[in-house]
Amino acid sequence: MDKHKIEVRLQGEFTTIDVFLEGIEIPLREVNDNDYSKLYTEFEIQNPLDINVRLKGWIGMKWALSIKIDDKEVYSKNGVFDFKGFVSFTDTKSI
Amino acid sequence: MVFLTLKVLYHLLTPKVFSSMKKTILYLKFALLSSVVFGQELKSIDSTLMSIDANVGELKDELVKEKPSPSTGQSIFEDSKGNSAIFLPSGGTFRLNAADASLKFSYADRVSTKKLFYGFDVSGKTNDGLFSLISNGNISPGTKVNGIIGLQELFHKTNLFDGWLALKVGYEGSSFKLFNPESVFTNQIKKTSFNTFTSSLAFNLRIGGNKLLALSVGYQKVNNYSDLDELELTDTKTINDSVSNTTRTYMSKVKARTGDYKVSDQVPINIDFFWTPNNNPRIGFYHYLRTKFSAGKATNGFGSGLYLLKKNNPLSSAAGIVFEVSDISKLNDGFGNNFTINFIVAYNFGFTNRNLH
Repeated sequence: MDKHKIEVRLQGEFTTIDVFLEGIEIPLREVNDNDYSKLYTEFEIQNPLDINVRLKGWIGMKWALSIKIDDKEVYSKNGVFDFKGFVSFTDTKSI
Repeated sequence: MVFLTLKVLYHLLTPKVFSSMKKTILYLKFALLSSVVFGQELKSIDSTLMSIDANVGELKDELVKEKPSPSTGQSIFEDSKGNSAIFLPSGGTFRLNAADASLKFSYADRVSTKKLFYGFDVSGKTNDGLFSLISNGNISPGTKVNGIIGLQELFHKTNLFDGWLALKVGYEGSSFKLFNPESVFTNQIKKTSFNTFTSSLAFNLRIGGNKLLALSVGYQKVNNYSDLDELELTDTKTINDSVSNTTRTYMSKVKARTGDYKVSDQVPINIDFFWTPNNNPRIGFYHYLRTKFSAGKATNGFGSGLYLLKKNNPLSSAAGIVFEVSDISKLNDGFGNNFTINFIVAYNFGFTNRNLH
């Protein structure tokens, strides 16, 4: 397993945030209004990167997830909440 | 031929003309040398400017992370007194409530993996309404400060609901003048302070993606200042100067209220419901019930509001209008005393936080 600098950024308004990378829940802090972030200088990744996300929010609310590894964006995903008010997805990304 | 011409020219040139030509050549040499040096200097300036530009570019890239983004949307859904059971544990907002004549700043700190979140709100107001603040600055100031601790993601497993609790504990203080015509003259205008600790516990339930139901119960001391009659008192004083045989008159004006001033304990119960249509998340409807138990009797009121919500941010209101009946039992006394129209305007502000760890 290699250690990498990793930055996770999530934008939008949420009532629940579950973001897991490599099975580890990422503690995202709201650093600006509707802007959550977490930076690790050393994060162990076993290629490919496992991504697991569940978000709860409000209808019409736009959300965006961005993952940077070693200062380069390797994964991004965005969408808009529908009337159900939740989004859930699992993905992998080769680095 | 050319040689002959030059020879003729050499003989034709007088020493004076020759000297003048030498000077001209010298000037040309100087101009040529200067332009070369100036050109090199320009190149140097150009490379320096390019270097500065590159540095500014790097600085700009760094500042992008710090660029403030607008912050909105916390507890903008509230009645004419600034009360609400809805508490959104995110970001910050700075808002003006025209009906309550108050400015409020609120903020919450939240980390996604922690059950507890923290926050505060601070509001300042004038007890005499916004008009008095704008018109003459003769105001009775009031302040509210609340510390907030909350518990989030109460229904973590299900996707249908989400809930959170928020406990607010704070302080409210205000200062104003009361007028009692029955007292002796020097004691008729009495400066009075009102201070109370406030507390409330709010439960918010998000149902699906477009409904928010909130209930709160609290305790605080209240006064009836807003129900008292408003007066503007004018004191006139006269000074006589026997030497110049002049009389000088001056006036001072004081804003005060008169009536039976009372302070009592109050237990307010607030129920709020906010929803947006499935097909139009730009419009929000807000309904609330207010029950206040005070001095052994209950007062019931209600309100209903319409909000224009921001695109892609439906919990942030661009503007709102709320119609309110503060006491149902006094509806027969006429709309003038109990019916309030409250305009709510949000002002977005930006703040930065460099530390992303």
